Amino acid sequence: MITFKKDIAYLGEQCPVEDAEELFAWLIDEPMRKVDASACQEMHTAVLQTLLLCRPKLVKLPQSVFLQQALNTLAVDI
Amino acid sequence: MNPLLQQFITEARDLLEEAASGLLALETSPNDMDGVNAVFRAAHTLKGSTGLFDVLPMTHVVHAAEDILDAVKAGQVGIDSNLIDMLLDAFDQVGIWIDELESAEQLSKDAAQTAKEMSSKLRAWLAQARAGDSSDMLVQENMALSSQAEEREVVQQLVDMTPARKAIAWLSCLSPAVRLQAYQQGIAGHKVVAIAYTPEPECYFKGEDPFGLVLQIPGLIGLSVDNAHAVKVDAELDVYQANIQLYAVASADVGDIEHLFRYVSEQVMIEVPLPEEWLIPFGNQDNDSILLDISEQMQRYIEAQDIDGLVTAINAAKNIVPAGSWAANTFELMALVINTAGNHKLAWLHVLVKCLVTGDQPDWLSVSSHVNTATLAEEGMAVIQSLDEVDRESLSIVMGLQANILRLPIAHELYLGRIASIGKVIENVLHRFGHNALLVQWLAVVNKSKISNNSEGMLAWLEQSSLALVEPNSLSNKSNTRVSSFNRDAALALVDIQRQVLAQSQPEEVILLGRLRSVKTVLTSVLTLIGRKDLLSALNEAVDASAQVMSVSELVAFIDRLDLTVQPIQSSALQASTRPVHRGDPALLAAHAPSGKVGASDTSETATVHGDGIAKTLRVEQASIDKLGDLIGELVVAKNAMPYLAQRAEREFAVPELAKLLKEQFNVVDRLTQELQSTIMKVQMLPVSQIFQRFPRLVRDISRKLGKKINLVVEGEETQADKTVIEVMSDPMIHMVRNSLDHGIESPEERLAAGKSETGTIKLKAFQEGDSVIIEIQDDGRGVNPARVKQKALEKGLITEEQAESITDQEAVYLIFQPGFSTNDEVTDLSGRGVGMDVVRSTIERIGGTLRVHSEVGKGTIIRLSLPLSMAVSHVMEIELAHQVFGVPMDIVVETARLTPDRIKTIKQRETFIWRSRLVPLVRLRDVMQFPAGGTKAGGVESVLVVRRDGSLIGLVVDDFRSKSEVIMKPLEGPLSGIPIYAGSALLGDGSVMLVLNIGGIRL
Repeated sequence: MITFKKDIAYLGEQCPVEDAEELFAWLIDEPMRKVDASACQEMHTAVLQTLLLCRPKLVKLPQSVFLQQALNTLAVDI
Repeated sequence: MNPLLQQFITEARDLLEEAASGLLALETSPNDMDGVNAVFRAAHTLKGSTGLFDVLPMTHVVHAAEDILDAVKAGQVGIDSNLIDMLLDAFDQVGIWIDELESAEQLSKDAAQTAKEMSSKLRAWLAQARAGDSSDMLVQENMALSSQAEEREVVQQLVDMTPARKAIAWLSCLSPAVRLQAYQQGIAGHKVVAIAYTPEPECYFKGEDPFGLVLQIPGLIGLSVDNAHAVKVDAELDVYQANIQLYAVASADVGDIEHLFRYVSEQVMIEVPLPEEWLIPFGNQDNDSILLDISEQMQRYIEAQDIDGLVTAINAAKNIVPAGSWAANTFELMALVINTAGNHKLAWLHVLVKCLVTGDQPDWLSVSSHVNTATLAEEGMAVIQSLDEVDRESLSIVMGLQANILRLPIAHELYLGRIASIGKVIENVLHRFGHNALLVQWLAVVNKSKISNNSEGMLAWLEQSSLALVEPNSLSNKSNTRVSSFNRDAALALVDIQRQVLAQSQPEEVILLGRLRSVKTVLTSVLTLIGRKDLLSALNEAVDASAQVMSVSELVAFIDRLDLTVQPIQSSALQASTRPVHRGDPALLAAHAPSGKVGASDTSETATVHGDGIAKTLRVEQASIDKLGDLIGELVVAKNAMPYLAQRAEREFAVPELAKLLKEQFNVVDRLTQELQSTIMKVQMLPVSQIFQRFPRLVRDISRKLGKKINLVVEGEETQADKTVIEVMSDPMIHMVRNSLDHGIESPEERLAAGKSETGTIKLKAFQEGDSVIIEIQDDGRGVNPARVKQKALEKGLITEEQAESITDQEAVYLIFQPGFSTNDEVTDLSGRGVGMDVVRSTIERIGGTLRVHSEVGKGTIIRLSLPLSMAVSHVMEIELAHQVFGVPMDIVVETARLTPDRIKTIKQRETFIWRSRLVPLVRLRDVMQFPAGGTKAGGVESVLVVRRDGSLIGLVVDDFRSKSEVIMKPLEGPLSGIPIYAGSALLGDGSVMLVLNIGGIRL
């Protein structure tokens, strides 16, 4: 479940495949929007792909090392 | 056995059966989309369930078949007999594996190899069919086959020509930090595996989660993820079209990783890089001229093996170059090598220094640490230095020596060994000198010699090359990936070498021809590989022309004319091996999309599902049903004891009230057990379609083999019979149908000559008649010729001359059921061994059935089997013989008769009597059973049971008749089972045992 606040999307603990569409629509709407991935523990490939396509800035990184590696091409803006 | 595996085996058999019958149906109606879907579903479900077990080969084969079916479904490829043959073969193979699983709980060792061959065959076919115009498939078939073979050869050559290791271009796609970790693990002696995974675009619709899968990799060290290709990111973009590329590094066994990715194996590349291959510099490249100086200086330190000097130089240089640049990173890697690497330190440093200036990726292949390690370590620098005059000379001498060895006479059995050892020597030498271009060529030549068992090519090559030593490392690797660099650089280098080979001094005729041939082979491969097949005919012409004038000039001219513009490779075989297979049509996939987990819901499709979603069909193990049947049988016997009890209560204990109560209670129990009996009977009933459904396949295969045209008609397949009957009948039915196919139905020409239609008909018919199931096998073939049968039987000593004369035509037909009878002189693999039909008869009689044949010459044959509806309950006639009770199966009993002595006539030393104006032979059962004679009643009246046997009647003389009864007959076990005269035993109500006779087993 993603919580959208003003210009930051807070990813939930789990990001199932359905989240991709919603997240994509929200990110495409306004290019400067950012993502907080700190709570995320599991991310479906489609969500990951959406992040890599839209390339939003990350305000917080996820805990998991492998998730960090997967997202390490995105700019971090803390 | 693990119950899960047990269930899988049962289900897999059902699914295979479903797939096979669906395929057969498709052969007659190829456009039946429902049919295609049904077969696809079966394959898909099967693939899904194979994943639960350690049966990777099975998964691979089913997956390949599924992909073809998917393509058929999407209308990309058409169906023809060859495809059906191929798919049937694949499913048959899976069937064999299922049998193996059942007996051994694992697959045989060669399963993986078989699976590889089979699935690559299927995939090659699919690629071929997709490339070609599928509507023209049949016309193009022959052409396709030959070009397929050609392509396969080329691919094989590519494999042969490629050195043992290829550079892995995509390792640099992993982030530097991960690469560093991988190097450290590798240098510490751990196994490090690199994985590149490109999920297909539709994967999300299949419920796949590629990232999740990658996270499951055992021993995962690190990963990198990116979009697979650039797309315009706007509102139109479909985020559910996968566009993602994953790379991972793990410290694990390749086998475990292959297992994890078994469903997407064609989308995954798995490599085991050497530790140094992880050392790839990154960062911005400056063309600063100072780098040139620095690298030259470092090179000198390396050559002098002065590590301390090198370290100082590195530390100094680090401060000059910008942080994060290519050069800075290269220095870091060099420092790392100095601190960590062992014997290969200097060689590796040399490679790294080289990239400092060139900006190329390091050429680790030139120092692969797995080749000839000892010498490499010792000689250090010499390995990678350019060949100087001395080296060239020594290489030339080595080659000349090997050529001399080749010329020596040798015993035939040592020949291959010599080729191999010379091959190895030159291979190692070339490897050491970093002479990749020649190495590639050499490996191809050696391989060819091994196959053709002829070293002429090797000899020619050695002679020429020893003279033609060219500059090493002419194959300098530009910034391309290895595959495309092979296409361009290697092709150019190879062609260049060929030119030089040809330019050598004129050799003898034989060697010249060999030289031409080997040059031609190499050039053919090169041209094919770079997609210039259009030049092949010109090449052939040039070679032929050169051969004719015994001069290389024509071929050299051809090479000079060559314009090697690389065209994209069109070969479908190559496509199949390198690209992930793309599936299906988007519309079909979209239809799957809502559920999002197609794979998961599939298994339930085979079960009957009710509104509440709970399957109402139960799969029960056969053994428990059998046990239940046994218990009910015992209950029947126990129940039958109650009337005796009532009798004793009345007579012995004089309590008639109790007797009355017992009888009343008996009636209740009796009704309940009868109900139980009929219920268990119903549970054990199976439709005869269980037997019949194999025949379409059998008839198709055999008729194709025999070149006969057969139309199979099946009627009444819903008729039910006891499962034991069905099980036992399956083999005899196959015998009979095979016989009809082989002996009954004539060849199309014969049929036309006889005025019949070209296509023969075999009709299988089943129906219920009273307590029996009747199965008829009818053909409209040539029929059984009684005269010929009699003659054969006489020849084989099955009947005497007198018998041959007295026997009627109708009786003669039954001779085919005699053991050892065969009218066919030629033993085929179908029938004709003379073991079939007598086994059929004995099997049927064993289960209490009977068999009748009616045959008319030229018109055909009907075999009619009458089988008991249920083997659980048999109706028998009880007879008495020497104060014992025996049973005779009711269905052969025609009548009981009492004969006065005057009606018995002796004809040809045999007792006979006239019964309804037919002459019937008498058989005294006491004689047959070797009881003492006697038992004749007052007035010499004999009790005779008239029974049917093999279509004729015989009279059995018994002591007395008793009542008819229903018994649960059990076949005799152990040594007793071999006694043909008994069909089985049964328990009577009073607890005594009755033996049931098998009249067919009585010798007359």
